[in-house]
Amino acid sequence: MAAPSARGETIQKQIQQDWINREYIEIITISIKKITDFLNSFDLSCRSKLAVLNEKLTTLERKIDYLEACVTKGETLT
Amino acid sequence: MPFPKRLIEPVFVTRGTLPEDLPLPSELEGVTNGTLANIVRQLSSLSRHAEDMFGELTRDAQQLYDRSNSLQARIDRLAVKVTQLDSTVEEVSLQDIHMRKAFKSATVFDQQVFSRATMPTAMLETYNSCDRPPPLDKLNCYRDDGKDGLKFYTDPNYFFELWRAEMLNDTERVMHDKGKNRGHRGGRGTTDGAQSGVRHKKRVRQPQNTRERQKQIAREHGEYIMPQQNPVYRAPHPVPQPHQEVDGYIPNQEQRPPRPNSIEIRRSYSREPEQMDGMHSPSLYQNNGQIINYDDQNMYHHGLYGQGPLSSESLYAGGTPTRSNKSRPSQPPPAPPSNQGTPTAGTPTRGRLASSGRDQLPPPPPPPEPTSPPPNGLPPHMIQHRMSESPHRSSSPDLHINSPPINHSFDLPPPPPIPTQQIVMQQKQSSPPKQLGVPAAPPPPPPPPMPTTNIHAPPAGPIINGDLIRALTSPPKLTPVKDRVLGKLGPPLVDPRNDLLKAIRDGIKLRKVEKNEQRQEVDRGMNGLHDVASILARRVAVEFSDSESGSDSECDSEGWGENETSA
Repeated sequence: MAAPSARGETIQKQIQQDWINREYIEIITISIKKITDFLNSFDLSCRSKLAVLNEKLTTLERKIDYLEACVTKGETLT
Repeated sequence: MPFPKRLIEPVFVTRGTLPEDLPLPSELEGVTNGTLANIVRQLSSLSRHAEDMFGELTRDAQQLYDRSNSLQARIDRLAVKVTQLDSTVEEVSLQDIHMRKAFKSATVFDQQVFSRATMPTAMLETYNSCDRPPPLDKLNCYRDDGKDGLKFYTDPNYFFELWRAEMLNDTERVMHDKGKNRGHRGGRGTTDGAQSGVRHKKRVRQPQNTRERQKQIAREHGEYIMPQQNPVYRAPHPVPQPHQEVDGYIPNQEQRPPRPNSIEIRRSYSREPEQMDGMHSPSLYQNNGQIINYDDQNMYHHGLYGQGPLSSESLYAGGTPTRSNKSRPSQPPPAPPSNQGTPTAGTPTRGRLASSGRDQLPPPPPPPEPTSPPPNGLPPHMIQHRMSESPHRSSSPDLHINSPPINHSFDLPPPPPIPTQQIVMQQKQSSPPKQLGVPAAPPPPPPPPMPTTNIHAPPAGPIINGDLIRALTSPPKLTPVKDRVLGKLGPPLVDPRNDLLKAIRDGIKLRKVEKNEQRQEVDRGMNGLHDVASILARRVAVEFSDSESGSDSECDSEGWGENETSA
């Protein structure tokens, strides 16, 4: 009885250890998912902000174009 | 189907982690270790994507930073400049105001944003991992219709072509509508003689109208249109332009009557230009400067015929064909002198510059005419007086009459691109000098790079008898038409050239009108309008056509009209 019981214990230990390992792996994978989620949201927000900035810059550039054209005298030719 | 831009691999961390070949003391541990190894791989993949992502963000941010820096520098410069402004000093003297350079935006618009070149690296990897499409293009040699077999399987340009066709059609439609409206007002080039007044007002729109009309006509009755226009010249200028006298002219005269409200004067002009475009583009260009004079004479004649304003009004209201015919005979006399005068006079160059289809109208009117007393013996100033009176008669005429000189000045500047085209045409014309009967084209400026002949100059069979052969045989004629087309396209000139060469070759081969028309369409699309910006710019120009855009469009439209008519 001792032998089988001892074997059962080892198996039980292995299974328990496996469960522990699986929990550990689960934590790691979840962390990886969190990282990817964060990276995605970060990328998204950055791009949207950059796009807004780009838009503002474009309008500003056009305004400056206009102002420069207004201020420019006949010096362009001749 | 979701299309992930970045894929972290491996996806299944635990699968296949148990080696089958060698037995393990503890399989559970083996699986765990394998899973951990895959997780490490995932992390490395994740870090790689993160690096790529941050790289992209950094690049974009850097671009914005550079732009904002340059913008800041501009603002600083502007601020300094503004402080230096002195309100007491006249900014620009009246003399220098002509020297002012027109504002030209240096803004570059992004195009082809979603092209392969702009594909992010992550997506490019995914793309490269895809299977290539089956080599269906290898079967092209077995296809009779000449289509690319691969395009039945995959065509990256499909939606762009779809969009382009839609935009071009819209543009055409808008221009056509505008043309109709204008036609009601002042009459059209083809149908109504009232164009002269309208063109003075808005050059751009008129040409577009004529061109569209001509296109439609060409499609429906490619050959008919040409003859209609020609008859006018026939009587007036029998000697100078023998080629114009073709069989087709007579039928045209018959068709005139159906045309609605046509002002006699304008009629003659409009028709003439069209003829010129199709037939004798070179002569027209040379004579452009003389057009005004011609108009004046016409007015004068009308006054004689109709007893002043009243007669003119009747004409405007709805000129009867018979009337126009009568008036025309009177006009003819000027034509013969035009040939002689054109070569000598400096005006021809002007006309070329103007390049607007309307301007091209009557090649025949000789430059000297304005100065020389009209046939009746009235001095030129008398004519002008008459013209001044005319405004009261009708609004459209007013513009025409009052503006003649102004228009010329305007015409010259607005269509910068045109002049080059015209020049080219001139050169070409000069080479085949006297076929057209316009012997005296001034020495052409250095010919621009070979203009492609997208427009199959080779006028379709319907073209005037002699002209067809000439067009086909003589490159010069063809080139002018092409040039015009290019002008129409505007910015895209550079690209079209390659196509033009090819088109020229093909055009010479193809004589059928239908084919030519198709080609024109294709060329049109191919030439300049592969460019999103050019398409949009053209569309905008059509919708808000002002004097400048109008001038360009005119030239273009003329070119097209010629092509179509010729085809």
